Amino acid sequence: MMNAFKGVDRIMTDSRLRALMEESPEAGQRALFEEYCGYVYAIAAARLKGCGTAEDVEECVADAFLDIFTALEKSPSGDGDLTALIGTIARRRAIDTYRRLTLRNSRTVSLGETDAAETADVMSVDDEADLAETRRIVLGQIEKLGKKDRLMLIHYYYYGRTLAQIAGTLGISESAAQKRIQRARKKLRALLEKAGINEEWWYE
Amino acid sequence: MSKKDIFSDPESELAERFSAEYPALSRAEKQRIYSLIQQKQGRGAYDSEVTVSGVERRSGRAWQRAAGIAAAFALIAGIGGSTFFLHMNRVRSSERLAAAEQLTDDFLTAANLLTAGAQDGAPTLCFYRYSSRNSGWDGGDVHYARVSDDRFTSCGELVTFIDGLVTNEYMYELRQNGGGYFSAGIRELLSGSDDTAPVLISYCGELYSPQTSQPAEAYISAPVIVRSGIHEMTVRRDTDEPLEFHMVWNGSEWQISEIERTSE
Repeated sequence: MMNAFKGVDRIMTDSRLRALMEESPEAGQRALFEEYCGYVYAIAAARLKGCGTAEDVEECVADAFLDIFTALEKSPSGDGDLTALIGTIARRRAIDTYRRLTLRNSRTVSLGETDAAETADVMSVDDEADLAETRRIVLGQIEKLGKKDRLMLIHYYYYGRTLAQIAGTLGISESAAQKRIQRARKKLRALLEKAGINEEWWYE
Repeated sequence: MSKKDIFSDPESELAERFSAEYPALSRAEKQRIYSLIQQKQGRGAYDSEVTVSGVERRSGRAWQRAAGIAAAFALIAGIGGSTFFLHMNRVRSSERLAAAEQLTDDFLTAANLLTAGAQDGAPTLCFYRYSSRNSGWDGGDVHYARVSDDRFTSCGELVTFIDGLVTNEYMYELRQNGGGYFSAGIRELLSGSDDTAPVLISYCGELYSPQTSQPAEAYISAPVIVRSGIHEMTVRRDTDEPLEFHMVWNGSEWQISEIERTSE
């Protein structure tokens, strides 16, 4: 969903960004980074949480931007949707990083295990549909929470940020962050039970 | 269904929405990532890269060296310790005040643009504004003047600038409802409504705001730290009304966590 704010907030349009990158690659790259770094981070963090460190996620975002810059240098006058292009590149880079980290994290991996991991990573159409439906319901229930609760849950479960990172970003102590997450989670659990979802959907 | 993280591979639209509504990255993190990109590009992102080469061959016994260092440190600490800490406290206090002044100055400058101001008077743009819903209103001209602060050439740059000054939580408040500082959320201020024109227009790489009669030089008092903790402080600045800026230390920089209008 392209929200209305994007039209105003991202006033520097894709075509202007492309033009700026042609005129002054360094300035263009900086502007592109400022505009899209939150988006790329959101894709990378969601994919890598639980298997990589904060530094791994930051490196993945940096690598994704290098891929994006290369793609735009090859096709400077392209007129496609920049958001879609950046999203695709970021997603591919995040998957590559995920596979690399998964392999790194397992001390010995036989060829068979690698194949199994790759296979396990591919979900059946039914599972995919189930997951999308659960996500839709969970998001619907999260929307019913207050904004502070939403913020905590999304930082913790979507971005996979640590308590220390959340506390640093929000300017609160780690114990306060933990309490807020516990509170928000309790409220969400009650809403989900009412909506008929009892299982532990979140990442443990 | 097996237990699986429902957010591990979300739709792009969700990532886009969350990055706009619940941004996670602080200014320091953004800067760190950009430095990493520059480093990978071979642009030498870090200001000072220290290279150490060569190996010193150690002679004598290790415990003697350690004991010597400890004794020297104890002697220096004994002589100059209290002076040193007094000096450090003074430095930290002045650093805090400097950070408080910079942060509040930057915020007030950027916020001033969202409440119309900081124009250089020329050139101006004129729009005819009318309402298709109100046939009884003939409409009228709206004049926009170029803003004088050349750091901002688009609404996006202005929002990004403010984003870098405040905590994510407070930015959310500012975007949604004005955070107790603006009369409405930044989103609403920028887009305007049926009753109000947008407060800013980006045109040909320059930023314009509704033209106002030349305001008198705005008064802003010097910053005063009224409360101070290890990782937080409150700074008071008086403009046309007294304001208290609550700030927090996020481990690498100070950020504004809330702004309160206070009565005398």
